[in-house]
Amino acid sequence: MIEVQDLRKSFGERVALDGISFRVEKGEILGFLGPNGAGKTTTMRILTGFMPPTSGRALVAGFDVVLRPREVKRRIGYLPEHPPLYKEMTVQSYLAFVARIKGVAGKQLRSSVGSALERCGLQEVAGRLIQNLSKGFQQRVGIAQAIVHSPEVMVLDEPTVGLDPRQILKIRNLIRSFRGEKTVILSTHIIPEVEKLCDRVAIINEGRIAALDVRGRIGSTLETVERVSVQFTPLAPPFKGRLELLDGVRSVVQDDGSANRFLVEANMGSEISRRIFERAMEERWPLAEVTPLKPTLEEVFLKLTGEERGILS
Amino acid sequence: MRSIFTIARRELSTYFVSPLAYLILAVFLLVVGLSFCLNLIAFANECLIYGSNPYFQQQLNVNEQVVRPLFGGFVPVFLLILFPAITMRLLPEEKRQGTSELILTSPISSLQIVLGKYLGALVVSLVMLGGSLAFIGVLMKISQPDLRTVASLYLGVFLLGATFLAIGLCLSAFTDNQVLAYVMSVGVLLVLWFLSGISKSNSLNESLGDRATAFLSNLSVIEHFGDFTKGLVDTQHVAYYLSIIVFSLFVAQRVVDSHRWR
Repeated sequence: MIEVQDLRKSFGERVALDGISFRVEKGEILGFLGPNGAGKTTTMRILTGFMPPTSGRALVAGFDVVLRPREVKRRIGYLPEHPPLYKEMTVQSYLAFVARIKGVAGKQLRSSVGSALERCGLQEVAGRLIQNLSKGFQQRVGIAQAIVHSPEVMVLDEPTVGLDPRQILKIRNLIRSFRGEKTVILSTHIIPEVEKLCDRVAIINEGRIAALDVRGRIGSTLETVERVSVQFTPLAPPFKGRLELLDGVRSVVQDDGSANRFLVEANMGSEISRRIFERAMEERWPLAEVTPLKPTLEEVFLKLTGEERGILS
Repeated sequence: MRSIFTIARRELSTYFVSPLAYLILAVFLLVVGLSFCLNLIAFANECLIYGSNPYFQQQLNVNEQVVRPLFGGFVPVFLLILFPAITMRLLPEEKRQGTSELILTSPISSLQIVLGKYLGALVVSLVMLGGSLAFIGVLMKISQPDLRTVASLYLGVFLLGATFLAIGLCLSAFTDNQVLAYVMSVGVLLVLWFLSGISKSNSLNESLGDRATAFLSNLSVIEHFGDFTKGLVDTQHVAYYLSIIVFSLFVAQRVVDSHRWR
Protein backbone atom coordinates (compact mmCIF):
# COMPACT_ATOMS: atom_id res chain seq x y z
CA MET A 1 0.00 0.00 0.00
CA ILE A 2 2.86 2.34 0.86
CA GLU A 3 6.29 2.02 -0.63
CA VAL A 4 9.15 4.34 0.15
CA GLN A 5 12.49 4.08 -1.59
CA ASP A 6 15.60 5.89 -0.47
CA LEU A 7 13.81 9.06 0.55
CA ARG A 8 16.04 12.06 1.22
CA LYS A 9 15.18 15.56 2.28
CA SER A 10 17.39 18.46 3.19
CA PHE A 11 16.45 21.93 4.34
CA GLY A 12 19.39 23.95 3.13
CA GLU A 13 22.42 22.54 4.88
CA ARG A 14 20.47 20.47 7.35
CA VAL A 15 19.75 16.90 6.33
CA ALA A 16 16.39 15.83 7.73
CA LEU A 17 16.04 12.49 5.95
CA ASP A 18 19.07 10.52 4.91
CA GLY A 19 17.78 7.69 2.74
CA ILE A 20 14.69 6.09 4.23
CA SER A 21 13.12 2.99 2.68
CA PHE A 22 10.23 0.88 3.92
CA ARG A 23 7.00 -0.78 2.86
CA VAL A 24 3.65 -0.97 4.58
CA GLU A 25 1.16 -3.64 3.56
CA LYS A 26 -2.57 -3.10 3.36
CA GLY A 27 -4.35 -3.16 6.71
CA GLU A 28 -1.14 -2.91 8.69
CA ILE A 29 -0.31 -0.45 11.45
CA LEU A 30 3.28 0.78 11.30
CA GLY A 31 4.70 2.78 14.18
CA PHE A 32 7.43 5.38 13.79
CA LEU A 33 9.43 5.60 16.96
CA GLY A 34 12.14 8.14 17.38
CA PRO A 35 13.38 11.10 19.36
CA ASN A 36 12.20 14.59 18.50
CA GLY A 37 13.70 15.86 15.28
CA ALA A 38 14.52 12.38 14.01
CA GLY A 39 12.60 12.85 10.76
CA LYS A 40 9.23 11.29 11.58
CA THR A 41 7.19 14.38 10.74
CA THR A 42 9.20 15.09 7.62
CA THR A 43 8.58 11.57 6.33
CA MET A 44 4.87 11.97 6.97
CA ARG A 45 4.74 15.36 5.31
CA ILE A 46 6.34 13.91 2.21
CA LEU A 47 3.92 10.97 2.14
CA THR A 48 0.92 13.30 2.41
CA GLY A 49 2.19 15.60 -0.34
CA PHE A 50 2.72 18.57 1.96
CA MET A 51 6.31 18.85 0.82
CA PRO A 52 8.32 17.05 -1.86
CA PRO A 53 11.40 14.96 -1.14
CA THR A 54 14.80 16.17 -2.27
CA SER A 55 15.31 12.77 -3.87
CA GLY A 56 13.90 9.28 -3.68
CA ARG A 57 10.46 7.91 -4.37
CA ALA A 58 7.32 7.40 -2.35
CA LEU A 59 4.28 5.50 -3.64
CA VAL A 60 0.90 5.46 -1.94
CA ALA A 61 -1.62 2.99 -3.34
CA GLY A 62 0.60 2.75 -6.42
CA PHE A 63 0.66 6.51 -7.09
CA ASP A 64 3.83 8.56 -6.86
CA VAL A 65 3.41 11.39 -4.34
CA VAL A 66 5.31 13.84 -6.54
CA LEU A 67 3.90 12.92 -9.93
CA ARG A 68 0.28 12.16 -9.00
CA PRO A 69 -0.30 14.18 -5.83
CA ARG A 70 -4.07 14.45 -6.26
CA GLU A 71 -4.58 10.71 -6.49
CA VAL A 72 -2.46 10.29 -3.37
CA LYS A 73 -4.16 13.05 -1.42
CA ARG A 74 -7.58 11.65 -2.19
CA ARG A 75 -6.55 8.38 -0.56
CA ILE A 76 -4.78 9.72 2.52
CA GLY A 77 -6.17 11.00 5.79
CA TYR A 78 -3.62 13.06 7.66
CA LEU A 79 -3.55 14.22 11.25
CA PRO A 80 -0.65 16.65 11.66
CA GLU A 81 1.03 17.11 15.02
CA HIS A 82 -1.21 20.11 15.70
CA PRO A 83 -4.72 19.22 14.59
CA PRO A 84 -5.63 21.60 11.73
CA LEU A 85 -8.87 22.98 13.13
CA TYR A 86 -10.85 26.05 12.20
CA LYS A 87 -11.79 26.82 15.75
CA GLU A 88 -14.58 29.24 14.93
CA MET A 89 -16.56 26.49 13.18
CA THR A 90 -18.82 23.87 14.68
CA VAL A 91 -17.61 20.29 14.62
CA GLN A 92 -20.24 19.31 12.11
CA SER A 93 -19.69 22.15 9.66
CA TYR A 94 -15.92 21.72 9.95
CA LEU A 95 -16.15 18.04 9.03
CA ALA A 96 -18.50 18.83 6.16
CA PHE A 97 -15.99 21.38 4.89
CA VAL A 98 -13.11 18.89 5.08
CA ALA A 99 -15.19 16.22 3.34
CA ARG A 100 -15.99 18.65 0.51
CA ILE A 101 -12.42 19.72 -0.15
CA LYS A 102 -11.38 16.06 -0.06
CA GLY A 103 -13.82 15.43 -2.88
CA VAL A 104 -16.82 13.88 -1.11
CA ALA A 105 -19.93 15.18 -2.83
CA GLY A 106 -23.70 15.26 -2.73
CA LYS A 107 -25.52 12.50 -0.96
CA GLN A 108 -22.42 10.87 0.44
CA LEU A 109 -21.50 14.02 2.33
CA ARG A 110 -24.06 13.60 5.07
CA SER A 111 -23.32 9.95 5.68
CA SER A 112 -19.56 10.55 5.63
CA VAL A 113 -19.80 13.26 8.26
CA GLY A 114 -22.27 11.18 10.26
CA SER A 115 -20.08 8.10 10.36
CA ALA A 116 -16.95 10.10 11.21
CA LEU A 117 -18.81 11.72 14.10
CA GLU A 118 -20.05 8.37 15.31
CA ARG A 119 -16.74 6.58 14.98
CA CYS A 120 -14.88 9.22 16.96
CA GLY A 121 -17.63 9.57 19.55
CA LEU A 122 -18.38 13.17 18.67
CA GLN A 123 -22.16 13.08 18.22
CA GLU A 124 -22.91 14.93 21.43
CA VAL A 125 -20.58 17.82 20.55
CA ALA A 126 -21.42 17.96 16.82
CA GLY A 127 -23.10 21.35 17.11
CA ARG A 128 -20.54 23.00 19.36
CA LEU A 129 -17.77 25.37 18.35
CA ILE A 130 -14.42 23.64 18.19
CA GLN A 131 -12.74 26.37 20.25
CA ASN A 132 -14.97 25.48 23.20
CA LEU A 133 -14.02 21.80 23.24
CA SER A 134 -11.43 20.20 25.50
CA LYS A 135 -8.06 19.19 24.12
CA GLY A 136 -9.14 15.55 24.02
CA PHE A 137 -12.20 16.31 21.97
CA GLN A 138 -10.24 18.58 19.69
CA GLN A 139 -7.79 15.76 19.07
CA ARG A 140 -10.69 13.48 18.24
CA VAL A 141 -12.04 16.06 15.81
CA GLY A 142 -8.57 15.96 14.28
CA ILE A 143 -8.84 12.21 13.80
CA ALA A 144 -12.40 12.51 12.52
CA GLN A 145 -11.08 15.00 9.98
CA ALA A 146 -8.56 12.39 8.82
CA ILE A 147 -11.16 9.66 8.27
CA VAL A 148 -14.13 11.67 7.02
CA HIS A 149 -13.49 10.88 3.36
CA SER A 150 -12.91 7.15 4.09
CA PRO A 151 -9.25 7.12 3.04
CA GLU A 152 -7.40 3.86 2.51
CA VAL A 153 -4.31 5.21 4.24
CA MET A 154 -4.07 7.17 7.47
CA VAL A 155 -1.04 9.11 8.61
CA LEU A 156 -1.20 10.16 12.24
CA ASP A 157 1.52 12.36 13.68
CA GLU A 158 1.65 11.85 17.46
CA PRO A 159 -2.07 11.25 17.84
CA THR A 160 -2.07 11.03 21.64
CA VAL A 161 0.27 13.87 22.53
CA GLY A 162 -0.95 16.12 25.32
CA LEU A 163 -3.92 14.00 26.37
CA ASP A 164 -4.81 12.58 29.76
CA PRO A 165 -4.56 8.79 30.31
CA ARG A 166 -8.25 8.16 29.81
CA GLN A 167 -8.33 10.11 26.57
CA ILE A 168 -5.20 8.31 25.39
CA LEU A 169 -6.95 5.00 25.98
CA LYS A 170 -9.94 6.08 23.89
CA ILE A 171 -7.82 7.33 21.02
CA ARG A 172 -5.80 4.11 21.05
CA ASN A 173 -8.94 2.01 20.89
CA LEU A 174 -10.08 4.12 17.99
CA ILE A 175 -6.81 3.59 16.12
CA ARG A 176 -6.87 -0.12 16.93
CA SER A 177 -10.30 -0.34 15.31
CA PHE A 178 -8.70 0.60 11.99
CA ARG A 179 -6.51 -2.52 11.96
CA GLY A 180 -7.12 -4.68 8.92
CA GLU A 181 -9.35 -2.06 7.39
CA LYS A 182 -7.04 0.88 6.81
CA THR A 183 -3.31 1.17 6.42
CA VAL A 184 -2.00 3.29 9.24
CA ILE A 185 1.31 5.00 9.89
CA LEU A 186 1.57 6.63 13.27
CA SER A 187 4.45 8.37 14.93
CA THR A 188 5.13 8.66 18.60
CA HIS A 189 7.90 8.86 21.11
CA ILE A 190 5.91 6.92 23.69
CA ILE A 191 7.20 3.37 23.70
CA PRO A 192 4.18 1.58 25.24
CA GLU A 193 2.02 3.12 22.58
CA VAL A 194 3.95 1.33 19.87
CA GLU A 195 3.87 -1.92 21.82
CA LYS A 196 0.12 -1.72 22.24
CA LEU A 197 -0.91 -0.51 18.80
CA CYS A 198 1.48 -1.39 16.06
CA ASP A 199 2.04 -4.50 13.98
CA ARG A 200 5.48 -3.35 12.99
CA VAL A 201 7.87 -0.77 14.34
CA ALA A 202 10.39 1.44 12.60
CA ILE A 203 12.89 3.15 14.84
CA ILE A 204 13.97 6.37 13.16
CA ASN A 205 17.01 8.28 14.23
CA GLU A 206 19.02 11.06 12.63
CA GLY A 207 17.02 10.77 9.42
CA ARG A 208 17.60 7.05 8.99
CA ILE A 209 15.71 3.91 9.85
CA ALA A 210 17.77 2.34 12.60
CA ALA A 211 15.62 -0.79 12.86
CA LEU A 212 12.44 -2.04 11.26
CA ASP A 213 10.71 -5.24 12.25
CA VAL A 214 7.66 -6.91 13.66
CA ARG A 215 6.91 -5.54 17.10
CA GLY A 216 8.13 -8.46 19.23
CA ARG A 217 11.15 -9.26 17.13
CA ILE A 218 12.65 -5.84 16.76
CA GLY A 219 16.11 -5.68 18.20
CA SER A 220 16.75 -9.42 18.16
CA THR A 221 18.94 -8.96 15.12
CA LEU A 222 20.92 -6.34 16.93
CA GLU A 223 21.90 -8.59 19.81
CA THR A 224 25.45 -9.87 19.92
CA VAL A 225 24.92 -12.16 22.92
CA GLU A 226 22.21 -14.57 24.07
CA ARG A 227 20.98 -13.82 27.53
CA VAL A 228 19.27 -16.26 29.83
CA SER A 229 18.05 -15.98 33.38
CA VAL A 230 18.48 -19.24 35.37
CA GLN A 231 16.67 -19.84 38.67
CA PHE A 232 17.53 -22.73 40.97
CA THR A 233 15.37 -24.02 43.80
CA PRO A 234 16.07 -22.53 47.21
CA LEU A 235 18.79 -24.16 49.29
CA ALA A 236 20.55 -25.45 46.15
CA PRO A 237 24.34 -25.48 46.29
CA PRO A 238 26.09 -22.68 44.38
CA PHE A 239 25.99 -23.51 40.66
CA LYS A 240 27.77 -20.47 39.38
CA GLY A 241 30.94 -22.35 38.61
CA ARG A 242 29.15 -25.08 36.72
CA LEU A 243 27.28 -22.62 34.54
CA GLU A 244 30.53 -20.95 33.69
CA LEU A 245 31.92 -24.24 32.38
CA LEU A 246 29.27 -24.56 29.66
CA ASP A 247 30.42 -23.99 26.07
CA GLY A 248 30.10 -20.46 24.79
CA VAL A 249 29.29 -18.85 28.09
CA ARG A 250 30.86 -15.44 28.45
CA SER A 251 29.80 -14.43 31.89
CA VAL A 252 27.61 -15.50 34.77
CA VAL A 253 26.38 -12.89 37.20
CA GLN A 254 24.42 -13.46 40.35
CA ASP A 255 21.13 -11.60 40.17
CA ASP A 256 20.69 -8.83 42.71
CA GLY A 257 17.43 -10.06 44.12
CA SER A 258 18.03 -13.66 44.98
CA ALA A 259 20.97 -15.88 45.74
CA ASN A 260 19.75 -18.60 43.40
CA ARG A 261 19.17 -16.59 40.25
CA PHE A 262 21.91 -16.09 37.71
CA LEU A 263 22.09 -14.03 34.53
CA VAL A 264 24.02 -15.90 31.86
CA GLU A 265 25.43 -14.25 28.77
CA ALA A 266 26.59 -16.53 25.99
CA ASN A 267 27.84 -16.20 22.43
CA MET A 268 25.25 -15.68 19.73
CA GLY A 269 24.11 -19.00 18.25
CA SER A 270 25.33 -21.12 21.15
CA GLU A 271 21.73 -22.10 21.98
CA ILE A 272 22.49 -21.61 25.61
CA SER A 273 19.01 -22.42 26.93
CA ARG A 274 19.07 -25.86 25.34
CA ARG A 275 22.53 -26.58 26.72
CA ILE A 276 21.49 -25.63 30.22
CA PHE A 277 18.51 -27.96 30.02
CA GLU A 278 20.56 -30.89 28.72
CA ARG A 279 23.20 -30.47 31.41
CA ALA A 280 20.53 -30.12 34.07
CA MET A 281 18.95 -33.41 32.95
CA GLU A 282 22.28 -35.23 32.98
CA GLU A 283 23.41 -33.94 36.33
CA ARG A 284 19.99 -33.63 38.01
CA TRP A 285 20.29 -29.95 38.83
CA PRO A 286 17.54 -28.57 41.10
CA LEU A 287 16.38 -26.23 38.35
CA ALA A 288 13.28 -24.06 38.87
CA GLU A 289 13.21 -21.83 35.79
CA VAL A 290 15.14 -20.93 32.64
CA THR A 291 14.03 -17.77 30.85
CA PRO A 292 15.55 -16.47 27.63
CA LEU A 293 15.79 -12.69 27.95
CA LYS A 294 14.76 -10.61 24.99
CA PRO A 295 15.64 -6.96 24.90
CA THR A 296 12.65 -4.73 25.55
CA LEU A 297 11.66 -2.18 22.95
CA GLU A 298 12.82 0.46 25.35
CA GLU A 299 16.29 -1.01 25.58
CA VAL A 300 16.50 -1.31 21.81
CA PHE A 301 15.30 2.23 21.37
CA LEU A 302 17.75 3.68 23.85
CA LYS A 303 20.58 1.62 22.46
CA LEU A 304 19.90 2.62 18.86
CA THR A 305 19.23 6.27 19.39
CA GLY A 306 21.80 6.72 22.14
CA GLU A 307 24.73 5.16 20.31
CA GLU A 308 24.16 7.14 17.16
CA ARG A 309 24.29 10.32 19.12
CA GLY A 310 27.40 9.18 20.92
CA ILE A 311 29.22 8.74 17.63
CA LEU A 312 28.28 12.16 16.41
CA SER A 313 29.14 14.15 19.47
CA MET B 1 -14.85 24.89 -9.46
CA ARG B 2 -16.73 23.27 -6.60
CA SER B 3 -13.63 23.39 -4.43
CA ILE B 4 -13.35 27.13 -5.05
CA PHE B 5 -16.89 27.63 -3.80
CA THR B 6 -16.26 25.37 -0.82
CA ILE B 7 -13.27 27.49 0.21
CA ALA B 8 -15.14 30.74 -0.46
CA ARG B 9 -18.12 29.59 1.58
CA ARG B 10 -15.93 28.73 4.53
CA GLU B 11 -14.19 32.10 4.32
CA LEU B 12 -17.54 33.86 4.28
CA SER B 13 -18.85 31.97 7.28
CA THR B 14 -15.65 32.89 9.14
CA TYR B 15 -16.06 36.57 8.23
CA PHE B 16 -19.59 36.68 9.49
CA VAL B 17 -19.08 34.82 12.74
CA SER B 18 -16.31 37.21 13.71
CA PRO B 19 -17.00 40.84 14.61
CA LEU B 20 -14.45 41.97 12.02
CA ALA B 21 -16.78 41.80 9.03
CA TYR B 22 -19.56 43.65 10.83
CA LEU B 23 -17.13 46.25 12.05
CA ILE B 24 -15.76 46.83 8.55
CA LEU B 25 -19.28 46.97 7.15
CA ALA B 26 -20.38 49.46 9.81
CA VAL B 27 -17.38 51.75 9.36
CA PHE B 28 -17.77 51.61 5.59
CA LEU B 29 -21.46 52.55 5.71
CA LEU B 30 -20.74 55.28 8.23
CA VAL B 31 -18.13 56.93 6.06
CA VAL B 32 -20.02 56.57 2.77
CA GLY B 33 -23.18 57.70 4.54
CA LEU B 34 -21.36 60.76 5.84
CA SER B 35 -20.13 61.57 2.35
CA PHE B 36 -23.69 61.10 1.04
CA CYS B 37 -25.24 63.30 3.72
CA LEU B 38 -22.78 66.16 3.30
CA ASN B 39 -23.20 66.20 -0.47
CA LEU B 40 -26.96 65.91 -0.26
CA ILE B 41 -27.26 68.75 2.26
CA ALA B 42 -25.00 70.97 0.19
CA PHE B 43 -27.02 70.16 -2.91
CA ALA B 44 -30.31 70.83 -1.12
CA ASN B 45 -29.04 74.17 0.11
CA GLU B 46 -27.97 75.19 -3.36
CA CYS B 47 -31.36 74.17 -4.68
CA LEU B 48 -33.02 76.37 -2.06
CA ILE B 49 -30.85 79.36 -2.83
CA TYR B 50 -30.57 79.13 -6.60
CA GLY B 51 -33.59 76.99 -7.51
CA SER B 52 -35.71 80.01 -8.46
CA ASN B 53 -33.06 81.39 -10.76
CA PRO B 54 -33.56 79.83 -14.22
CA TYR B 55 -29.90 80.36 -15.17
CA PHE B 56 -28.50 78.56 -12.15
CA GLN B 57 -31.22 75.93 -12.23
CA GLN B 58 -29.63 74.40 -15.31
CA GLN B 59 -26.39 74.04 -13.43
CA LEU B 60 -27.96 72.07 -10.63
CA ASN B 61 -27.56 68.38 -11.32
CA VAL B 62 -28.10 65.60 -8.80
CA ASN B 63 -25.79 63.26 -10.69
CA GLU B 64 -22.98 65.77 -10.69
CA GLN B 65 -23.35 66.89 -7.13
CA VAL B 66 -24.55 63.88 -5.15
CA VAL B 67 -24.02 60.65 -7.10
CA ARG B 68 -20.54 61.41 -8.43
CA PRO B 69 -18.98 62.54 -5.17
CA LEU B 70 -20.47 59.61 -3.25
CA PHE B 71 -17.19 57.75 -3.72
CA GLY B 72 -15.15 60.86 -4.43
CA GLY B 73 -12.89 63.04 -2.35
CA PHE B 74 -11.48 61.24 0.65
CA VAL B 75 -13.62 58.07 0.19
CA PRO B 76 -11.22 56.14 -2.10
CA VAL B 77 -8.36 56.78 0.34
CA PHE B 78 -10.56 55.48 3.08
CA LEU B 79 -11.31 52.33 1.04
CA LEU B 80 -7.59 51.90 0.60
CA ILE B 81 -7.18 51.79 4.36
CA LEU B 82 -10.24 49.63 4.98
CA PHE B 83 -9.98 46.92 2.35
CA PRO B 84 -6.65 45.44 3.43
CA ALA B 85 -8.36 44.67 6.75
CA ILE B 86 -10.55 42.22 4.82
CA THR B 87 -7.65 40.42 3.19
CA MET B 88 -5.02 40.55 5.94
CA ARG B 89 -6.15 37.34 7.64
CA LEU B 90 -6.85 35.25 4.53
CA LEU B 91 -3.55 33.41 4.19
CA PRO B 92 -1.68 34.26 7.45
CA GLU B 93 -4.50 32.75 9.51
CA GLU B 94 -4.14 29.38 7.76
CA LYS B 95 -0.46 29.25 8.58
CA ARG B 96 -0.94 30.36 12.17
CA GLN B 97 -3.69 27.84 12.88
CA GLY B 98 -1.80 25.05 11.13
CA THR B 99 -4.76 24.53 8.83
CA SER B 100 -2.48 25.09 5.86
CA GLU B 101 -1.39 21.49 6.44
CA LEU B 102 -4.98 20.40 5.88
CA ILE B 103 -5.52 22.61 2.84
CA LEU B 104 -2.23 21.73 1.19
CA THR B 105 -2.68 17.98 1.71
CA SER B 106 -6.16 18.05 0.19
CA PRO B 107 -6.72 17.17 -3.45
CA ILE B 108 -7.12 20.80 -4.53
CA SER B 109 -4.70 23.07 -6.38
CA SER B 110 -3.13 26.21 -4.98
CA LEU B 111 -4.97 28.18 -7.65
CA GLN B 112 -8.27 26.89 -6.29
CA ILE B 113 -7.21 27.91 -2.79
CA VAL B 114 -6.28 31.44 -3.89
CA LEU B 115 -9.40 31.89 -6.04
CA GLY B 116 -11.65 30.57 -3.27
CA LYS B 117 -10.20 33.00 -0.76
CA TYR B 118 -10.40 35.86 -3.24
CA LEU B 119 -14.01 35.05 -4.03
CA GLY B 120 -14.86 35.07 -0.31
CA ALA B 121 -13.31 38.52 0.14
CA LEU B 122 -15.02 39.74 -3.02
CA VAL B 123 -18.42 38.72 -1.69
CA VAL B 124 -17.73 40.67 1.52
CA SER B 125 -16.97 43.76 -0.56
CA LEU B 126 -20.17 43.18 -2.56
CA VAL B 127 -22.15 43.09 0.68
CA MET B 128 -20.57 46.41 1.62
CA LEU B 129 -21.37 48.01 -1.74
CA GLY B 130 -24.84 46.49 -1.63
CA GLY B 131 -25.41 48.11 1.75
CA SER B 132 -24.47 51.51 0.38
CA LEU B 133 -27.11 51.17 -2.35
CA ALA B 134 -29.55 52.19 0.37
CA PHE B 135 -28.29 55.76 -0.09
CA ILE B 136 -29.12 55.62 -3.78
CA GLY B 137 -32.53 54.29 -2.76
CA VAL B 138 -33.06 57.36 -0.58
CA LEU B 139 -31.97 59.58 -3.45
CA MET B 140 -34.45 57.94 -5.81
CA LYS B 141 -37.25 58.78 -3.40
CA ILE B 142 -36.53 62.48 -3.55
CA SER B 143 -34.94 62.93 -6.97
CA GLN B 144 -34.23 61.20 -10.26
CA PRO B 145 -30.57 60.20 -10.41
CA ASP B 146 -29.38 58.77 -13.70
CA LEU B 147 -29.22 55.03 -13.09
CA ARG B 148 -26.63 54.50 -15.79
CA THR B 149 -24.29 56.86 -13.97
CA VAL B 150 -25.01 54.95 -10.75
CA ALA B 151 -24.24 51.64 -12.47
CA SER B 152 -20.99 52.95 -13.92
CA LEU B 153 -19.99 54.41 -10.56
CA TYR B 154 -20.61 51.13 -8.79
CA LEU B 155 -18.76 49.16 -11.46
CA GLY B 156 -15.84 51.51 -10.89
CA VAL B 157 -15.91 51.15 -7.11
CA PHE B 158 -16.28 47.40 -7.43
CA LEU B 159 -13.24 47.17 -9.70
CA LEU B 160 -11.25 49.49 -7.44
CA GLY B 161 -12.15 47.41 -4.40
CA ALA B 162 -11.48 44.14 -6.24
CA THR B 163 -8.01 45.47 -7.10
CA PHE B 164 -7.33 46.42 -3.48
CA LEU B 165 -8.44 42.95 -2.38
CA ALA B 166 -6.28 41.18 -4.96
CA ILE B 167 -3.20 43.16 -3.96
CA GLY B 168 -3.99 42.60 -0.27
CA LEU B 169 -4.43 38.85 -0.79
CA CYS B 170 -1.21 38.68 -2.77
CA LEU B 171 0.80 40.40 -0.03
CA SER B 172 -0.81 38.32 2.70
CA ALA B 173 0.66 35.25 1.01
CA PHE B 174 4.15 36.42 1.90
CA THR B 175 3.78 36.43 5.68
CA ASP B 176 2.14 34.58 8.53
CA ASN B 177 1.61 37.79 10.47
CA GLN B 178 -1.68 39.62 9.97
CA VAL B 179 -0.40 43.01 11.08
CA LEU B 180 2.50 42.76 8.69
CA ALA B 181 0.14 41.75 5.89
CA TYR B 182 -2.06 44.77 6.61
CA VAL B 183 0.76 47.30 6.79
CA MET B 184 2.41 45.95 3.63
CA SER B 185 -0.89 46.13 1.74
CA VAL B 186 -1.64 49.69 2.79
CA GLY B 187 1.93 50.69 1.96
CA VAL B 188 1.89 49.20 -1.52
CA LEU B 189 -1.56 50.63 -2.26
CA LEU B 190 -0.46 54.07 -1.12
CA VAL B 191 2.54 53.95 -3.42
CA LEU B 192 0.29 52.90 -6.31
CA TRP B 193 -1.95 55.79 -5.35
CA PHE B 194 0.66 58.50 -5.24
CA LEU B 195 1.99 57.59 -8.66
CA SER B 196 -0.73 59.88 -9.94
CA GLY B 197 0.76 62.75 -7.96
CA ILE B 198 4.11 62.22 -9.64
CA SER B 199 2.80 63.16 -13.06
CA LYS B 200 1.45 66.38 -11.64
CA SER B 201 4.70 67.46 -10.09
CA ASN B 202 6.56 69.73 -12.49
CA SER B 203 10.07 69.13 -11.28
CA LEU B 204 9.72 65.37 -11.69
CA ASN B 205 8.14 65.88 -15.06
CA GLU B 206 11.24 67.71 -16.20
CA SER B 207 13.74 65.23 -14.90
CA LEU B 208 11.95 62.06 -15.97
CA GLY B 209 10.45 63.19 -19.23
CA ASP B 210 6.87 63.09 -20.42
CA ARG B 211 6.79 59.43 -21.33
CA ALA B 212 8.02 58.17 -18.01
CA THR B 213 5.62 60.29 -16.00
CA ALA B 214 2.73 59.31 -18.26
CA PHE B 215 3.67 55.69 -17.74
CA LEU B 216 3.84 56.12 -13.98
CA SER B 217 0.56 57.97 -13.72
CA ASN B 218 -1.09 55.29 -15.84
CA LEU B 219 -0.02 52.77 -13.24
CA SER B 220 -1.84 54.69 -10.53
CA VAL B 221 -4.97 53.04 -9.21
CA ILE B 222 -6.85 56.33 -8.84
CA GLU B 223 -6.14 57.71 -12.32
CA HIS B 224 -8.36 55.00 -13.77
CA PHE B 225 -11.21 55.54 -11.36
CA GLY B 226 -12.32 59.08 -12.33
CA ASP B 227 -14.04 58.21 -15.60
CA PHE B 228 -16.33 55.66 -13.93
CA THR B 229 -17.74 58.37 -11.64
CA LYS B 230 -18.60 60.45 -14.70
CA GLY B 231 -20.66 57.61 -16.10
CA LEU B 232 -17.98 56.56 -18.57
CA VAL B 233 -17.07 52.90 -18.82
CA ASP B 234 -13.81 52.81 -20.74
CA THR B 235 -12.38 49.38 -21.56
CA GLN B 236 -8.92 50.82 -21.02
CA HIS B 237 -9.67 51.30 -17.33
CA VAL B 238 -11.46 47.97 -16.97
CA ALA B 239 -8.47 46.29 -18.59
CA TYR B 240 -6.12 48.08 -16.16
CA TYR B 241 -7.95 46.84 -13.09
CA LEU B 242 -8.42 43.32 -14.44
CA SER B 243 -4.76 43.01 -15.32
CA ILE B 244 -3.66 44.09 -11.84
CA ILE B 245 -6.11 41.58 -10.33
CA VAL B 246 -4.92 38.73 -12.56
CA PHE B 247 -1.28 39.56 -11.91
CA SER B 248 -1.76 39.74 -8.13
CA LEU B 249 -3.65 36.46 -8.00
CA PHE B 250 -1.01 34.84 -10.16
CA VAL B 251 1.75 35.94 -7.79
CA ALA B 252 -0.33 34.80 -4.79
CA GLN B 253 -0.77 31.38 -6.38
CA ARG B 254 2.95 31.07 -7.02
CA VAL B 255 3.77 32.02 -3.44
CA VAL B 256 1.25 29.55 -1.99
CA ASP B 257 2.61 26.89 -4.29
CA SER B 258 6.19 27.66 -3.28
CA HIS B 259 5.41 26.55 0.28
CA ARG B 260 5.11 23.04 -1.10
CA TRP B 261 8.51 23.22 -2.69
CA ARG B 262 10.59 24.71 0.04
